[in-house]
Amino acid sequence: MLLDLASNLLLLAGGFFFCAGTVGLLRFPDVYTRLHALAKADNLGLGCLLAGLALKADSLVQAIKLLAIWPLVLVASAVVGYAIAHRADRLGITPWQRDDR
Amino acid sequence: MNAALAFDTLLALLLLWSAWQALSTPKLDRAVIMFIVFGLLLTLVWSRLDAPDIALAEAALGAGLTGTLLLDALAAFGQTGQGAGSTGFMTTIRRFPTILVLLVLLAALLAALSNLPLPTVNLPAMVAQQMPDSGVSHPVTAVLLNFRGYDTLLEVAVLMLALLGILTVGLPVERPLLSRNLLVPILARYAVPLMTLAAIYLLWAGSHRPGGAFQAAAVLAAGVVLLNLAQVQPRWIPGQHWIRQLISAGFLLFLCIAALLLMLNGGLLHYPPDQAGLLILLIESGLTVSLAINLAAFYLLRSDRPEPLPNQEDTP
Repeated sequence: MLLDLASNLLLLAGGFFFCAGTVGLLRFPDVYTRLHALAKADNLGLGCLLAGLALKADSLVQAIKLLAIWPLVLVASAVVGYAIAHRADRLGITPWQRDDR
Repeated sequence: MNAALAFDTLLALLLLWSAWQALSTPKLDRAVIMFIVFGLLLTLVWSRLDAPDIALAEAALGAGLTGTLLLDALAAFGQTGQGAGSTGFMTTIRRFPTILVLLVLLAALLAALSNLPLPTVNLPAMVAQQMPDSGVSHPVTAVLLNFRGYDTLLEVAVLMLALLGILTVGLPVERPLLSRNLLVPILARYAVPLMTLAAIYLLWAGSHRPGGAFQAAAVLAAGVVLLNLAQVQPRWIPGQHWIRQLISAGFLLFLCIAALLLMLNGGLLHYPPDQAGLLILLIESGLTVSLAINLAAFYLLRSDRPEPLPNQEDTP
């Protein structure tokens, strides 16, 4: 019962973070800030989703398999985020700055 | 139940939308990205249809490797291509016959689909009945490598022919390099051993659960492509004979076993039930290595022929 509640809360939190990341991707002004939104919010969302699903898993092995996805995606998305930002920097895209002064 | 239906409807609409976007956008880079999105959505569709084998293959081959190939082609040939850009009055007139033919075809297809005869043979029941003799416990593998083994044999041959076609066209060896960065090679060095492990697991799992030679080969090939992108593994050139030998080895092994069984049992790929499991594992292991090299070669193997001769007559 408590386990179900915790699992559902984690799943909802995961969904929220994915939505937040997507809003960031759509609304942020340049490639660097969009990467920031994706790499942070979506990975946290994925972690919540996987933890929530692991609590619902039938066996321990299944739960461990689900949780093992997270570090792999974290490493991959960190490297991909860096690669995109690095390339954008090489192409001479200057980071966006607030232009109120 | 209702939520599932809503999700499926959304998925189907998104699939159609991404397919339309990939076809209709005038920008080539956008078309490629939408094609990859289409492949990922198709993966979801297959898993919703309870077909994890096809979902795995679609994710690895359809979205993954094909997407990489298309991106590579985009980088190699530039983005000069203009798709359906012009939308003048005359183009609409010129397209009218095509649209008419397509509409007639669509109507005919819908009419044919609406009164499709029910299958007279219950295939799932037949497969289930023959499963004990197949040597494996996963029905998809049993069909692919035992009951319809010759289909798979021909598929492997088709992949080799595709590679031959690519080599005949002759692509430039050099391509615009990615900007040097230090993290991607580090990722590649750590990820590739894990990917190899995953491929061996997929190959082994094929006998009793979703997995098998094609999926394992796709993961291995992706590892090789990753090594190339990380500039750890240079392009292959056709002069390297070991590549050709490895690519044909799996197919030849398959063919030899088929020929041997034809002579001994009088049927192409009629395995004796006792040895069926061993033979299938042997064939799948050979196929995994050969298919992996074959798939990676689509990306890595470049003909070392320089630019086409300037005074060729048949170039438009």
